[in-house]
Amino acid sequence: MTLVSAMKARDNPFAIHRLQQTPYHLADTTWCDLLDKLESFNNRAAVIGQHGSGKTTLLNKLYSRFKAMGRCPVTAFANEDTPLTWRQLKQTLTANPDRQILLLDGACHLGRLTWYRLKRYTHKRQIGLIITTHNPGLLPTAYHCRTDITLLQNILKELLPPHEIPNETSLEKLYQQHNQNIREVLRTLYDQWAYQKK
Amino acid sequence: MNNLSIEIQDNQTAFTPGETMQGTAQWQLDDIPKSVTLNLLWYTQGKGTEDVSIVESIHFDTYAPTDQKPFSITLPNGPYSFSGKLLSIIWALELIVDKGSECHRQEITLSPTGQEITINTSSATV
Repeated sequence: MTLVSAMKARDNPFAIHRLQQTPYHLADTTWCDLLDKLESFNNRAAVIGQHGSGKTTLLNKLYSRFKAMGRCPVTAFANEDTPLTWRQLKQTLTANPDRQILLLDGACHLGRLTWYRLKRYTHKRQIGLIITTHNPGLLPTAYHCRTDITLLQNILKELLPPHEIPNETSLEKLYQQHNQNIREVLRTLYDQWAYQKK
Repeated sequence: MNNLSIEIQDNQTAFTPGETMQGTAQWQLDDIPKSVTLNLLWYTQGKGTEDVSIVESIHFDTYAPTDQKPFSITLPNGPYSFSGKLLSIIWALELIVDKGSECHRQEITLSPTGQEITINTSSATV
């Protein structure tokens, strides 16, 4: 038995606030092209991808960009545990009369009628609607979030000094253990760092 | 160039619950601000979603681009400044101009000992 110093949560390189500070790695496109593509869809489009592929992170980055552009975005979040009702969504929209774009995370978790009402309401009022969802079909796909080991390595390069980045073999193992879900890989690395010997 | 600062009396950064904090909020701005607010808040950092709670807000009436205003805040009883493996609770003062177009944050410590409470050791086999 050995006494181990645990890293403070605030100092953990995989703490949420550190992850949020890392740049988003777009694949095969640029921010300029992505924003142009969204504009061509009247900002009514979907970001699709599997669990832990970076959809929410991308939506958060889009929020910052739209805000900086003066586009008054508002956000809403739905998941299996908290499926949003139409009443809640309408309240979000009416509480922010200046809003131009609704960024909805987890649109696939809305009920069919709620989705239909939201789509019609925002369309009639020319409100942008950018959603994340696991599968295509709800709105035209503007971006498909995909993960690979290179993306994971690039994220780690932002978070760790070079000598602390796990080697490719152990990263690949971790990546496959978590079914290519980068969010889960980063959570596991958080725990590893939290208990590492100082 | 905009410049914001918070000066706490005697440069004190650690406080006990219920203690009164006094200081001066100062700003030098290029333009006349619409609003200047000083928030006392705590927030979390760590593995999970971040939480934040604004405990007190002081709105300064000002139309001057360069100004300084004294403030006095009685600190609450908790939560204490804390760091564990999964979560840190951090207290701070935040000076905000025009709803966030300019912001300056200064961390403080709130605890009975004057130091962040830490749970940073555990028994484990390494």
